Amino acid sequence: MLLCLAFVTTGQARGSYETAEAFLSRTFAGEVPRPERFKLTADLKARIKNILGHNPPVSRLRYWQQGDRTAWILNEIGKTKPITTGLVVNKGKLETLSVLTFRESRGSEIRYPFFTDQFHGVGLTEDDELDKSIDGISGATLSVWAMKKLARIAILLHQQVSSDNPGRQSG
Amino acid sequence: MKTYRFLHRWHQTLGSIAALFVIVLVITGLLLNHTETLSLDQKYIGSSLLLDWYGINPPAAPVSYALDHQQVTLLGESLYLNDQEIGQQTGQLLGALEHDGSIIIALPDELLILDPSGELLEKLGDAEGVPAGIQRIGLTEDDQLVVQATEGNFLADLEALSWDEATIPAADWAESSSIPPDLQNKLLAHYRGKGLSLERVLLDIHSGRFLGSFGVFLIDAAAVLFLILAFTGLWMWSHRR
Repeated sequence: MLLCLAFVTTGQARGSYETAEAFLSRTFAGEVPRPERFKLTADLKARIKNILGHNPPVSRLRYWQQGDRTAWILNEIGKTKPITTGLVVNKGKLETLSVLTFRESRGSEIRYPFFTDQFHGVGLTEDDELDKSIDGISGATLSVWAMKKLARIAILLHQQVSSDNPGRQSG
Repeated sequence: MKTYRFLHRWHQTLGSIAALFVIVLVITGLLLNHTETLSLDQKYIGSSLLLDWYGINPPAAPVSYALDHQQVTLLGESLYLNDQEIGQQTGQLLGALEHDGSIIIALPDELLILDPSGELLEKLGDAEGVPAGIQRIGLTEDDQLVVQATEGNFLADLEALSWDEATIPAADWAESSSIPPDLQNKLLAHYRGKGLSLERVLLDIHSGRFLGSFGVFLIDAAAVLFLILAFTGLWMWSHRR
């Protein structure tokens, strides 16, 4: 079934599927909180490097927080171009993973719910791995890897933000 | 017997000439056979003579913006803060200025935020709402960042990530400036320093392309020479007494 879908959609790759504004508005039901800045520490950079396999491209990230939920817009290269992804983490578990912009020529199947829904409720183990296995997609291996990396990073960042601001989590 | 002597004499003469080619080909061939182990593609030529020979120069003159005590420059596709590479490739640098203790650099579709030491803090693009088609950046009289884009002028609040379209009567737009000669020489050396790998030079010497099309024919001639030596050698071996 997955293979069939991959064949059917091979021709429809690159595209912007949702703006960051729309994603945030959808996530926070129109009440988008003011973005926060989060500076990566040396230790966190090392953990992110371990996940990505390369240094994080920037040392400060933006996120949006409302109560226990944080939203992140992250980029990671699949094969040659960055995939812009919106991720929402709620109480340490991934709530949503949405592909906002896909710039590669292959692998855009990762935007479909049959793939993204697998991330719902996924958490992080102590060694920064996802605590649930995610099924891949034939012909989209690199894009799938990129999504799994971003999911791990979003949860890791959420944990950091939560530990930095424990008071905010209960609000 | 006469033929044997004739061939022997020419075999010796041609062999001496061929030896020069053999030495060059053997040395370069052995090195190239271990390119990965020796990381030849990661080693770069620093000799100005060789870099000039290959014509390694940036495709266009540098574009530079002077800040209070620093200089942001685009050379080739590499961005520099003073003589330090920022690690961001771009085809166009549209402006740079200091704002709120950070350095803001405008590229066609994103803004880079650097701390004064040159560390890349953030890249703001369409996902962060940056107006499409940035043309230049500046500061208003009350020190607000303004971005001129295809759709008009936008007052930017980088803290809140808001971009409000506004009519800006006057702004201090970032203007490109000349680059100090010392810095230009440093950047040029840096740019050229990663333009020519040792592997490239060895490959070109091995194939003869180092001397252009003449070199290729020269190596062709050497190959024919080796063939002649092989045949004459075999012939003499089979007719030895």
